[in-house]
Amino acid sequence: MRLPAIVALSAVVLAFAVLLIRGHVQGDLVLAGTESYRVLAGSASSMNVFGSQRPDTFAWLVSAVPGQMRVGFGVVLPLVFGALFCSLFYLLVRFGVRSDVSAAFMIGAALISPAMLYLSTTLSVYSVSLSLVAACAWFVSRRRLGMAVLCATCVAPLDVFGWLVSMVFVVLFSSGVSVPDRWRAARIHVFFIALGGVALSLFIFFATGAVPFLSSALTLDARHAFSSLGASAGIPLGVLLLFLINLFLRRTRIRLVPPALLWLLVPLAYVVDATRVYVFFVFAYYAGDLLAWFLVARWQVKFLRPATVLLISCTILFSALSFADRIVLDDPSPALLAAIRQIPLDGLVLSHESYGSYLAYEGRESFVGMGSSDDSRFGRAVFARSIADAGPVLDELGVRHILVTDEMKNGLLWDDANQGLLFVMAHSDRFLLEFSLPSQGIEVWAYAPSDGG
Amino acid sequence: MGLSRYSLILVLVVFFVFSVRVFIAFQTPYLDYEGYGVLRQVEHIVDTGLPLYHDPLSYGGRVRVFSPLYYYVLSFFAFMVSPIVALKIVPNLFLACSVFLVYLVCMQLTKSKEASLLAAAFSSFIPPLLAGTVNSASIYALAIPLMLLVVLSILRLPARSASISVMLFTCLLALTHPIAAALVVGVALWIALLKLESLKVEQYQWEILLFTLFLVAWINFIFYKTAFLAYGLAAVWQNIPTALLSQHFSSIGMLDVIYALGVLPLLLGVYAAYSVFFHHRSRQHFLVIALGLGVLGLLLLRIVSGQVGFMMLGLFLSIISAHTLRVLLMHVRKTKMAWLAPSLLVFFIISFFFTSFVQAVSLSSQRVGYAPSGETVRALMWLRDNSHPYQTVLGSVEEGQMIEYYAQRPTVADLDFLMIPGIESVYGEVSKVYRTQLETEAVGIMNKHGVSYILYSPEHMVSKGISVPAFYSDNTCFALIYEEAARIYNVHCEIR
Repeated sequence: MRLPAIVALSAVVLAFAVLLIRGHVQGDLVLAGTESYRVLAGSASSMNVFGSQRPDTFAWLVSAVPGQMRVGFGVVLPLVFGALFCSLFYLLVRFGVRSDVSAAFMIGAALISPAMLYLSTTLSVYSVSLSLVAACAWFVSRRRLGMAVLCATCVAPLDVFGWLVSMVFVVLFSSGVSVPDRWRAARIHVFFIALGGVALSLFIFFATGAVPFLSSALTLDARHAFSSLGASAGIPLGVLLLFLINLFLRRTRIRLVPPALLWLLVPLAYVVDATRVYVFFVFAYYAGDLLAWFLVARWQVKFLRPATVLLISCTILFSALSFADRIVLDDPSPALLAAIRQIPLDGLVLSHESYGSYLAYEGRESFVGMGSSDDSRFGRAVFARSIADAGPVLDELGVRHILVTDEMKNGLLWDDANQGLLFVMAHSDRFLLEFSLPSQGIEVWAYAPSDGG
Repeated sequence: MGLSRYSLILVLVVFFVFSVRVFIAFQTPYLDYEGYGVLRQVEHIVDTGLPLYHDPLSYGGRVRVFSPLYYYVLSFFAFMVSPIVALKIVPNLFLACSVFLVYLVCMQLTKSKEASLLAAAFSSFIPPLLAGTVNSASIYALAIPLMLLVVLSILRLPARSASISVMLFTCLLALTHPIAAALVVGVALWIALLKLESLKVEQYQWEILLFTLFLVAWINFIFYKTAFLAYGLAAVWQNIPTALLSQHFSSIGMLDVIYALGVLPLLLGVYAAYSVFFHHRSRQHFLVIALGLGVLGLLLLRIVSGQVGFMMLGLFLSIISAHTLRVLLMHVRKTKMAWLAPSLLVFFIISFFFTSFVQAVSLSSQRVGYAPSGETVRALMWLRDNSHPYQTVLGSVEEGQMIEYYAQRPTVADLDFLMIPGIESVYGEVSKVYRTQLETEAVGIMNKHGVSYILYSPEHMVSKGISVPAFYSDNTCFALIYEEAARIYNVHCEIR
């Protein structure tokens, strides 16, 4: 078990290094990204297919952690589960691949990737569900189907897609590995997982009101699918290219997995948000295998072999470094959280959707519009050209403060300083600049409601 | 050991091409409008050793994203002669030398010196290539020779020296311009064409595809990372405003295409493609055809502009036309009229002179005529001496980089659109200022962009058919502060 431990340790060191650099650059160690703060605040996810009013099970579990320990917990939990997942991925790769070189490249492609960095640095349901899915697959490979069923059942209340993936694993692996009468055995196990998962999810729902997570986000915008173009837990284009080249040129086979299914993974990962993290590790498996093949195969132009392998390695490394850079510079800064803490607790805070989680984490009620059914009211408020237009909407919503950042002024919400509510705030005496941090580009405005409001 | 007859002719052709190019370029002491962006980069490198990535003047201050190699190459020459002279001579020298490379590529394809020489001559006077690069210090002056070097090296594979040169030149091409992607597309199409034709795809072809694919992708992701993060895959359209994009393509008709590519290279090239597909089926010829098809695809997707697309297409058509020339000469020499072969060559030269050379030279001369005039430059230098460094000047989008160079003042817009937020509205508003008849509308737009001065150059006024601003009524809001052939108005109203 020494090698899995080394792999796990590498994952922890990489992720922790990124967090430390972030802490150094930002001036304080604060978690990155809106998702971490949404989970810490125990808020509902607007992307959950089961509704945006109820928190998901994972967020509910984390919010049960005492307040003082929550941030530390938010840092440690992804690190632990990231390391656990890495060890399990290593064991699974070793189970499927005999070549040391192939295994090393597969682990490398998975470890040095935006998806792995996301899992190990961001508090999200995927850290836990992915580890449980990997554990399920590993138990199947060790012929311990009882434990596999247990792991898969535990995924159900957390992440519905992970639960489905576990069932696929059980079907594919148990039918190939464990029992002679394979399809019948697989059917029995899947039946237990399905029944157990539904029962456990229903129990948690009725006991706590929390629902499983299943992202409803579908996209055709490449920026949401590929980490190289800005997606947070997306797929690096380099790894995707290697996966496709492998399917086209080398045609590596995974036992019992039909190749057509692998081709289907590409549009699935592109369009369906919930699948991306899971599918990435299949891509990494194939990318690593192709890289190893490049190293051992005979090349007609010998000079090109080391150059190409070096280039591909650089491409993979570049994706990870580029993503690490984004984590380091990502919101929230300590200054933003400090500014939010200064906002009085009376009334709602109007801001952009990106800041909703931070406001919720700091205990401020917010109205951030996008992603909810209140879009039209939000639009009428932020793009109003006069106090006569903006006032009634703000009064109706109960907004008392407006949090404005430079990002909101530069394209996130408005395109210039004279647009919409920005113009109204600058010219109406019902708005007062409560405080600002010009160096950080943060402003908090107070709104005085009309007498009738 | 003296030069052979063909080598001597080739040297003379290169010298002739270079002379014609330099002669046309020095018809004006100024560069084309696009050239001033290059000039600012070169001068900045000469002064500081670094390219101008944070430009305080363009769009009132912005970040530029680009590959820097070309500017460094020009800076090297700018240490020896003045930058503007270097920008007039060096790009033309590179493009004149590319005639050598076309000759070598054609030799590799046909092994016929006569056909290769003629095809090389065709390639030197492709109208959009000559007009678009003669006085604009165009980056394609380096990208095109590098592309030809890569093609030449690929054709010589799998020789050891060729593999090193493929690596080196692909790397340089990727560091020069994203047009290197056309090479990747071309190589991929090459393999696809060979598969379609049931020809054997050698292993080295896959290796080249993998290498170029990852090299070009990686280098472009390094240099254009911020653009890809901002626009996603749409970054390949360079954030060009849709109005400008459709203006570039809407006016292109069939006759324009024939005119741009030249009648002779087009006819000979199309026949060569037919012959390669249905008779000759040579692996090497398919590479050139695939590169041409790749450029055509990029052109249809509007990833490259019409001018760039046609100059590259013209180049590949000229190269592949060597095949037709060789076949024709070979056939004639096999007949009883073998004596006709030299006359045929003369016929092609004369036809080329009338169908391409004359057009190319006249188009280039016209283009040089549109370069900024001395009056405009004097006006801008006057403005530099009589305004505050932070006051913004509004000119047409084409004039932006020239204003930044001569007046050294911030502008509202120029031709480098990448990484500019809300470019559609900026471009629309700049265009609107020159069209609107409402003073309040013009003032509103100028207030929005913090404009203090507006330039009316004689070139712009002639091209738009105007003499004074349509919105100008009296001196209340706009004071005419410079009145020669060019005019400059000072804006001193504010809408509250």
